[in-house]
Amino acid sequence: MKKILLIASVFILLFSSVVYAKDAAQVFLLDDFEKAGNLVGGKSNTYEKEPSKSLAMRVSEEFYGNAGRSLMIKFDKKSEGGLYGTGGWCGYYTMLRSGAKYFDITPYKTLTFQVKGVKGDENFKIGLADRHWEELGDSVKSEDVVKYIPTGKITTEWQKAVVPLDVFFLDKKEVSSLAFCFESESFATGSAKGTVYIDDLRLE
Amino acid sequence: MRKILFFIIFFISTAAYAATATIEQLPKLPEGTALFESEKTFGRRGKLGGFALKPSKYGIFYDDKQGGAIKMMYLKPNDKTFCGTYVILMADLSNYASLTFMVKGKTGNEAFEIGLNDTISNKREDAVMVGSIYRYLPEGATTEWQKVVISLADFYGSDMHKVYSLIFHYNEIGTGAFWIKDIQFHTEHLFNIEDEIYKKGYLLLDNFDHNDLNLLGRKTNTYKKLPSICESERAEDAFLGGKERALKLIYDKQSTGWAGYFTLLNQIDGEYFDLSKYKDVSFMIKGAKGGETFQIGMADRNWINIGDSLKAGQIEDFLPGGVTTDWKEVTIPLSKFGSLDFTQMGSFVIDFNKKQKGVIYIDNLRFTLKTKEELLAEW
Repeated sequence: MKKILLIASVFILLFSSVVYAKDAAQVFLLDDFEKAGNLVGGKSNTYEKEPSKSLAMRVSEEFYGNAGRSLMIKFDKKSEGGLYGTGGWCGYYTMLRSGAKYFDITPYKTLTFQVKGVKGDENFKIGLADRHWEELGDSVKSEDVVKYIPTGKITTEWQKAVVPLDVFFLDKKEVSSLAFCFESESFATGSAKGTVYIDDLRLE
Repeated sequence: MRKILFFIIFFISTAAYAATATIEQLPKLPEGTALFESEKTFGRRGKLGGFALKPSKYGIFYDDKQGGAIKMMYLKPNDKTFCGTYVILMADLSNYASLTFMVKGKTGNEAFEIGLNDTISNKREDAVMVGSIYRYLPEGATTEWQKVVISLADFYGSDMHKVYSLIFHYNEIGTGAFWIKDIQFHTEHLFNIEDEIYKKGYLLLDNFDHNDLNLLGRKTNTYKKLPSICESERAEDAFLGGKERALKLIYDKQSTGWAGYFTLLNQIDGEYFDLSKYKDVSFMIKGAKGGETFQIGMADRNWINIGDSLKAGQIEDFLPGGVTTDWKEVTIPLSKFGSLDFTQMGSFVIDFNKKQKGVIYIDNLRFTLKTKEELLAEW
């Protein structure tokens, strides 16, 4: 009897694990910032045009969860000067295209990540580029990240941002990169300087 | 029991994240893939073959004494002939990110290049090569089994939907035998070059030991315009410790024309290399006589398009006493190269700009990362 129960419970658990596996397949970890590169083989770095600037590094002093590292992005977005007199631009990008192979995000509904700020009033937009936008050297932007955070603002505590992929009108079968973009319209005065931390960048 | 169940669940959920395929399990070539009659007749998954121009020779077979591992043998007596071996895949690799296999040498230090032929390059016998085995196993093959992990993105230019064969090319003079087994393809990205670089704190672009491709798998070559000339070779007679080789540049710069050497950081028609978080470039240098001179240049995307480079200065500007017959290390801050877009770098250049005939040796060309403290100080 014990044996039958054991086999039955193994069968039930196996079945439930298959269901779990199906759910698990709907979550894709793009980067946990533990290693120097992202988890899809693409490079990552800041982008900037003076007088705006940004600096990104993977740091161990802040992390979401029990241990590890997170991504620190320092930004200094100006609103005047530089090319077109609009203060240039700055942000961070991570390539989802590996070599000639683009990334298909159609199996997923949202882009999620953990975020916190040093002061708590930081803001940015999320950019996504497909093959076409990559050729233009730009990306399709979401609304301000604060719209996708439960409290409606970045705080000094970790919060999960959930960005519906529907907000990005592009070819979701051929995505080349993802970016965190510090844009003038995200700030009341058009300019801002600060530091944010990002962790557990996922597609769900 | 709990533990067993946990492992079952873990295994299944992990399997959902990442898939691995052997050669036999790979998706087939797309319907309608154009193949020569000889490719159709001869081509079969897992079939082994080779090519050689005499007196070079090859041997390849499934070795029962090694549990069915593939045994490959080569004899390359000179640089005028060639030989190589291959394993036919006839597969669509477009959904895979990494290639792994196990390798074991008969005596160790067997040298070969790795390449991939798609169904087009196979017809013109021009595989995409990614460099020597030493690029992936810095200590080379040994008499123990070692795992080789290669990013399929390294085979830049191959049509990954239509892969015909995996190539082993014997580019170095010598003879040897080695075994390959467990050739597998993975959807997971198992190799990340950035991570390897950050662990070491520097990018070793080339040690000039085994291959004319540098350690990023990019092309290198001399450039010249008559009456000036420049030739390169991997010198066996200029040891820098151990038995490693160095780059030997033989040049004759006249009043006109040009002569020099370049090593690429970018893929041709592909990605440029981001050096924005690096602080300097360094290399070992010595001359055959001493007093040799040249300027050091670098090119970003714009300068690559122009076909020139920005120069940091003459070698003696960065090397007190100039080039001598002893090995010396020279370090040049990247800021000395002027206004380059370091996020999109294309090449490093040795340019013989003064009328002179000579021979120099270069080794261990590397770029050093800025430390965290240095990056924050700049901010």
